Formats: sequence, C-alpha cells, structure tokens
Amino acid sequence: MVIPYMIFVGLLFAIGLYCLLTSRNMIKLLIGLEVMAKAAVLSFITAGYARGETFLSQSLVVTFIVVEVCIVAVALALAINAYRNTGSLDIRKLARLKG
Amino acid sequence: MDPINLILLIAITVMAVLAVFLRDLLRAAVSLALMSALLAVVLYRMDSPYAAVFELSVVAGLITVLFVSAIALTKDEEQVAEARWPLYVFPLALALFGVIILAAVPALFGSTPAGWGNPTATFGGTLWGLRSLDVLGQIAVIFGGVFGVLALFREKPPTAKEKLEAEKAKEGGNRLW
Repeated sequence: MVIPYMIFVGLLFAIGLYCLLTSRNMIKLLIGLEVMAKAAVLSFITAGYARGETFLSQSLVVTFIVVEVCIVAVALALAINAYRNTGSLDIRKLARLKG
Repeated sequence: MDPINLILLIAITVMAVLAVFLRDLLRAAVSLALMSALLAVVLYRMDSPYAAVFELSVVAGLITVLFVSAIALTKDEEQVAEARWPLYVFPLALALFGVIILAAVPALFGSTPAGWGNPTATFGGTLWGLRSLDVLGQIAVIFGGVFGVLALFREKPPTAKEKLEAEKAKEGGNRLW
C-alpha cells in the first residue's frame, strides 16, 4: 500500500535534489529545498497512515513545518543581504567574500 | 491506492517540476504554493487533518508570502546560469534511488509491529503528552529564527563622523531657508 506513495516521495526528493545540484540562484535553491521538505512531509504522513499512528506522524510534521518556516525565513534574509552586498543572487559570487 | 490520491500526487509532481524548471521566480513561487495546497488535500485524505491545516496555512500561505517578498526586494534582472553536469549524472542517481526505495520500504514496514504507540490517543494528547519536548524545541527554533532575521537586518549605528556630517547638513539646510 505504501509503495506508490514512497515512489512519489522519491520523485519529489529527486526533483528537489536536482534543483539543488543545478541551480545557482539562491531563491531557486530554497525552492528546491522546499520541494525536498514536501517529500519528507509526505513520507512522515505515509508512514503514520500505513501503521495507523496518524497522530504521532502529524505531531512530527507540525514540528517539522515550524523548523522549515524558520529555516526559509533566515535563508531568505541571508539571500537579501547577499544581494545587497553583491548585486546578484548568484551563489558563486559569495565564494569571493573575505573576512 | 486511492485513484484521487494518485491524481493529486501526479499534480503535485507536475507542480514541483514547474517550480524547479520555470525561469521566472515569481511563477516558480506560485507553483510551490499550489503544490503545498495540493499536498494539504492529500494529507487531509490520509486521515491527517491537523497536518493538512498547518501545511495549507503556514507553508502554502506564510512561506509563499516570504518568497514573494524576497523576490520583490531583490529584483534580479540577470539570469543566473545553471550547471549542466547533473543532467547526465542525475538519471543514473534517480534509478539507483528507485531501486533502493523498492528494496528498503517493504523491509522497513515489515520489521516493526503495527500500532506500537497508542492508537486510541488524540492529536492533542500525542503532541502535548508523548511529544511535549518537541514543543520546547519548536519554541527554541522560532526564537532562533526571529533573532536570526533580526541580526541579519540589523542597522549599523552611525559613527561619530557620520553624526557630525548629518548635523552639518542639517545646519546648512537651516541657513539656506
């Protein structure tokens, strides 16, 4: 019963991973990270649904969503600051920072 | 598998592909929001209404607002070039990943007995009883995020020289008028 769901989990995770590997735009990287987070949420809920423990999986997902929002907020703040310093969203330009 | 869930999951995958491959960042962010909204429907259909509400309100709502605000603040005109090498390596990695999923998932779900927790518990009882330490962790993470954003957007206090220049400029303006 869980195999089709887990195939979609794998697909979503792969799409997010591909974005992280190919993209150099900081906001696009975060979008890739979000897609991977969706795969993790679907995986948690599928596991809870399959074992009949949806309350436990939901409480884990709620915690995960809170962590996810904080990560995105801080990462977007970092991206905006980097844009103000370099004038670009290209992640490679951050490699030249010194200091 | 429920056919409606299958259709919804296919739609979620299409939205994920659009979010990753669309060049326009605003459209990519909207695709991500639609993907979250569809995922919320799937979660609701899988007997997880609380997670669905959180997914819909926090992820589809708040995170989309954060993304749109960041895109509006940056206005990146130039297109950032993308790496090409994963195009060739990635299908192989994906196939390997699929084989691992097909091999590992039945073993994982067959190894532990079903319902080892308390299946009659409520969501509130589970979150505040069984996982109450997670709530403390959530509070710590929220404070970490808030102070992280505050630290990143902190204004630098003006130096003595800058203060003097500002006063001179003000005096000059007064004399002029």
